[in-house]
Amino acid sequence: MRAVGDEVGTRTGARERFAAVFRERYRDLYGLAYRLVGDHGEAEDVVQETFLRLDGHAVLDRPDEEVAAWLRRVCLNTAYNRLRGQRRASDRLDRAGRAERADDETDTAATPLLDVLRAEQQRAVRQALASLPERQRACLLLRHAGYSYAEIAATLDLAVGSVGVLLARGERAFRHAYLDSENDDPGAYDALP
Amino acid sequence: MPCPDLGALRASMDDAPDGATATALHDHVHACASCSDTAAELQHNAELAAPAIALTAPEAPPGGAAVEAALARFERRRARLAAARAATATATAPSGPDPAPAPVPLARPGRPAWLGTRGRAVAAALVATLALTGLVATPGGRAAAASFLGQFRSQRLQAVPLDAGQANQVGDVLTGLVDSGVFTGDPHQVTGLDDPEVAADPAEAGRLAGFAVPAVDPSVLPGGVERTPSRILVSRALETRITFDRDRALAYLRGHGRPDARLPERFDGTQLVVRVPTVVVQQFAGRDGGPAVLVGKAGMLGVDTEGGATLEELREVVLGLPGLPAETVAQLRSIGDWRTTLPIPVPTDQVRSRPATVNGAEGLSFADQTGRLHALLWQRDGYIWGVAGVLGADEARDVAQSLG
Repeated sequence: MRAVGDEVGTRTGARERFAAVFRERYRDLYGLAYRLVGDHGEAEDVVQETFLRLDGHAVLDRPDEEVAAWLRRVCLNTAYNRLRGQRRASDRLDRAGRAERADDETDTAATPLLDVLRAEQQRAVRQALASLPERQRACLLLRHAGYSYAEIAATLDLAVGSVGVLLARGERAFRHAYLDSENDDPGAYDALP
Repeated sequence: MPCPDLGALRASMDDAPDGATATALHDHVHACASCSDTAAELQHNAELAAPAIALTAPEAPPGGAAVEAALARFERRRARLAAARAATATATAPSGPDPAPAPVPLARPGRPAWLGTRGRAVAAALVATLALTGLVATPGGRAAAASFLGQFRSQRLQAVPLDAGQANQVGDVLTGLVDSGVFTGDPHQVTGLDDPEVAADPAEAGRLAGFAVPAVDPSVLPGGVERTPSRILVSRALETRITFDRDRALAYLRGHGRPDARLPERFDGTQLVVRVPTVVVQQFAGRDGGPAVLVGKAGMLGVDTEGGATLEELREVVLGLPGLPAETVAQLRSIGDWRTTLPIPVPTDQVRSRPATVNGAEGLSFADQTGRLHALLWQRDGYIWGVAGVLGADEARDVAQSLG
């Protein structure tokens, strides 16, 4: 039978453990969420929701790398859920009319040129990513955010040997989607006007 | 060795296989035409995806303070949820671990922008004025292409590369100057920068702007782009004043490792008078309705000082500020005649630039890392002109040259 002091100590330890994980993983999760949702506030919300699910979860007792993989998985799923919700909301807006979009365009037009262009390109990249199956998309984002094959495998619950195939297919699909959207020549980088 | 599968080939590009496997795989690919072709395609795909996907990353990861603030928000929310559960709970056994809270929507936290509208505008003017970097010519909106009146008049453009770290350093210094009140501006004067008017056609835009706005020859626009502008925006010229506070500047310098800093008393209260030019932007929509090509023309952005300090003296103060990247300061100082040269900051993690000419006029050309975006910026007849968008290098040049 545990003493009350032990229980308090255990809870305190769990809180400290949670806080340590939060501090260690917040930046990575924020970066991952931002890459998907493209908005600071939304990304923060996604990460907060992710940690809410971790709070009190048994996975906290697992080794750090397992906790990290679990968090990335929940973060990705939470972000995907948000994106689906946004898409539904966007569809409703489209059906209702274009007034809101007109407002958005005004805002966009008021931003400096580089912001406009950067936003336009980010939009094109996200649009291309959104056309990919979720696992391919997650694999691309994770890999190009610097995660190792082992980390990607743990996050997506794959064999490490399967990551390369998923990545190869994802990058191929991304290239088609990205270039089809604008029919531009990616080799034109060095051909400045 | 048999032909490796797609995944093994892709993994080999990231050095994922172990050493022995990698060597055998490498040898095989060299000897096998089919695998060599596949590997080349994979390499091409990866090289396209990397810089494109990098664009989706946040511009700056949250710092330590932001993480602590997020943790504090989380703790507050957890406490609220716990209190709500306690208030609604009937008799439940509290011996187990706290149940995971339901994922209810979070209250949207405050969004600490780098600076508010006022701060950004003041900072923008500071950059333009003091470091004489001028914001990148912005047919899109508020700060616009620049040439300095009064003590400064630009006759040529020069790129000043800034990597992400240097850009952050400059941003931090500007934020510090604005937050600490070294420079203050009237928010009522600067907010007007955000409100462009919409013109029906180039002729009306010209009437609003006070200078001729050429119609773009539809035949030079790239395929997939509308032949007529979807929007024409006119940002009217305006003047704003930014005041320099000597005492706060000294406090700032002494608080940032310059305990022996001195500034003449006559500097106090000096006003920078910034005249933001009229800017006209013609937007041409792409297939999805978004702006695909922008054609801009801007007047002069003038900067002068009123008060005890000259523009050159304040420039020296700013270039000597602690925290600015040494390389950037050196580049700015190396500009032989800063009174006639307008440096254009170029974020090297996003854009490459090189000198260019348009119908004989000197300018700069830009390309983003993926090659999808190109831009040209040039100066002629007292105006800054710009063409930019999702178009090829040759297409950008064609549009630019068609403007006369």
